[in-house]
Amino acid sequence: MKSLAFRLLRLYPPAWRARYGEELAALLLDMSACSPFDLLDLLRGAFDAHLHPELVATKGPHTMPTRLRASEIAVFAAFILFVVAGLGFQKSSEEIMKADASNAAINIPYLLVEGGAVVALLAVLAGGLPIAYAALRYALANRRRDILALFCVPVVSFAALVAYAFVALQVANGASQSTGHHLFIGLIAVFLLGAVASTWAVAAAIRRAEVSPGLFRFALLPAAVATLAMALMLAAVVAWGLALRAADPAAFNGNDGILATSTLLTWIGHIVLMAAATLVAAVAVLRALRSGAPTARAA
Amino acid sequence: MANDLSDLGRFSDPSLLILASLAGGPKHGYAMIEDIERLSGTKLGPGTLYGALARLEGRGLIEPLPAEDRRRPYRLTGLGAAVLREQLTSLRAFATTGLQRLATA
Repeated sequence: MKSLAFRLLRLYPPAWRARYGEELAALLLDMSACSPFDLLDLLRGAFDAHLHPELVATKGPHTMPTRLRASEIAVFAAFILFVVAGLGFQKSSEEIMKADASNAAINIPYLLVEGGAVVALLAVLAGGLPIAYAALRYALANRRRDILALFCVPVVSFAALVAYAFVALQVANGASQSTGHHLFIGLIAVFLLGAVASTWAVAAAIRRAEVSPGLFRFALLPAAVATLAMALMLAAVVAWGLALRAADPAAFNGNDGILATSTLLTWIGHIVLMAAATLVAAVAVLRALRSGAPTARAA
Repeated sequence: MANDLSDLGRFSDPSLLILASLAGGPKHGYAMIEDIERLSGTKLGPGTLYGALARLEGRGLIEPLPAEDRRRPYRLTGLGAAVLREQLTSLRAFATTGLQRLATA
């Protein structure tokens, strides 16, 4: 019966669950048993919550500004996607940059990408670290093992990446080029898996923790700065490719891309990923500015 | 109207019971259910309890306190205490009149 009661909680609207879901789940845990009457009562409650969405529109002092939080989590996820694409760009362009180091038309966009990466990283740290710290403190103070476990995911992912890289280096030493190639693909797979798992885990931990709305309001400006830096880097990567095409067509049409694939296709792939990430971040920031921020101010 | 619970429909009686329970001090959901059962013999269901809590919080009659290990206690606000006093006074007048009529019947 009790497991059915927990399932019925999913019938409540998301905004209602965000506000009352956790405490109602705690109440169900406290109850020794759930009777059929309790299940019917939950069903009626869910129906009532759908009929009266305004019940959670009035924000109390401890209500999380869910839209603002969701927008900032989206910016964080978009930033991680951008970083993945950026690392790919950095790796695929290093040989070209060595060959064309004196060309200002190629160098200046490259420097803009590096500068934008520093600005975006600092902005994400400035906005995200206080939130992560508050969530961690909440998890420790309330003995929330589920949140602590989620925070362990990035650490475990990084450890797995280091362990894989160490083992791969041992295996690759003296092995054939094909083996090295496969090991490198494995390294990319472990990195991507870790990035996805870590982003999901951190986002889930922030959603589950009780963090002051003030920290989310504070993080809005860094989120906007990070998004602008991402847009700048995207423009710089486009300019870099166009400059390379004009200055060194042989390199542009060569095979200096990821895993010795086409430079042109790799460049286009990076642009697509970076554009998608920038678009997601920009939409999230605009949503937060239009609706999340005023709601949070009222909280 | 913030000082009347009658427009809360099926949540008006549970709301009054919740206010009366919180008059004895802050409580979280399960503690409220147990206290209300002792106080009135009525066992509120979890959906009804939270439907009423949401309405009372929206009207500023109760306020949430920081959660303690997932359980969030609520307490009566000044406005909530005033509304409860008004409702109970009205009920007392009703009960007194009814008992007087029975005595003279």
